[in-house]
Amino acid sequence: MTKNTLDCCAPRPATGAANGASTPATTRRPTVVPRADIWETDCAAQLAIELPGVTQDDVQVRIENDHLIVEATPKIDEPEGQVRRLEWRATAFRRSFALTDDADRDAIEADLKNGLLTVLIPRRAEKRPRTIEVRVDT
Amino acid sequence: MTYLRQLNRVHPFETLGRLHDDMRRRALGQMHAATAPRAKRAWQPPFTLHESELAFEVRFLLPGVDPERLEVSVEGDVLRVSGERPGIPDDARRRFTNERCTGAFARAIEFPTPVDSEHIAARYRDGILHVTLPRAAEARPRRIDVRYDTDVGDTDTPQPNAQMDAGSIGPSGDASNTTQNTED
Repeated sequence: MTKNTLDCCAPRPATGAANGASTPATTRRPTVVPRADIWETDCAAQLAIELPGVTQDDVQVRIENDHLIVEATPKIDEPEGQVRRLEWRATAFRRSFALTDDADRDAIEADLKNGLLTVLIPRRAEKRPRTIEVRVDT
Repeated sequence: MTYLRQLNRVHPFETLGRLHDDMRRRALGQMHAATAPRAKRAWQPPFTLHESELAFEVRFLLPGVDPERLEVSVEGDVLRVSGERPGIPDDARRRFTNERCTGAFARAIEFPTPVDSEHIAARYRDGILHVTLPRAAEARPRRIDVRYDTDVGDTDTPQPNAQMDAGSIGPSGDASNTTQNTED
């Protein structure tokens, strides 16, 4: 029981996975790792994460232990009628990305549009590539 | 059963094909992304199909598409969805993962029964394209009332008639039940 008090210090936000066990079967959804593209430019790393059906209220992006964690539980209603084909299912999403030292944690920006979460992780200014001007002494 | 078979006929090996694409992408990973030219063939977005008495509802999984670049059309009983979505920009200095299907996509669904092409509604929200296709009036399941004539005495079936009149509740109830079942 002393363990519990320790855990209370940092209350974990309700996640899809954590809720899953206690919520009724109708709302329980498996948690999957969403598809993502990750690339880098000179001054930032960028992520494009597919979160179909997710609205701004359903998603949480946070930094914990040098990891960027994305969690989302979309509210997708079940269509009426009989299932004739099921190639995808509504799921909850969770994925974490390790942040390197050159990531500027305070300047991270996340934007959700059309079910795609775009995260911009700028590099610290001092870590960006720089061109040094060559001075020519005559 | 019939519906499934007919729909499967449209894309017989597509699930296998997708699996294969997926494995190849994972296996080649970064190398594929960095060296291979972008595949010219359109990829196929996954969908779900629900059928109710009045309509079909199709939901395509299409996160990250600009609605302006999304095209939905119906020709006869075939629904076509196509468009394009951007991937990693060309000015990227380095690519770490490339798991998303990007570029041109296209998919067609053939419906087993006629749809009312005048009243099809499409809505794109949060990366999911919903298309509702009402079934054509003639394709909707209809309930047929079973007429039960009590005075059919004019035909030449004298013996059974008298018995049916007597116990009309039982047989008529059974008859309507069976017709309902066959309609469904």
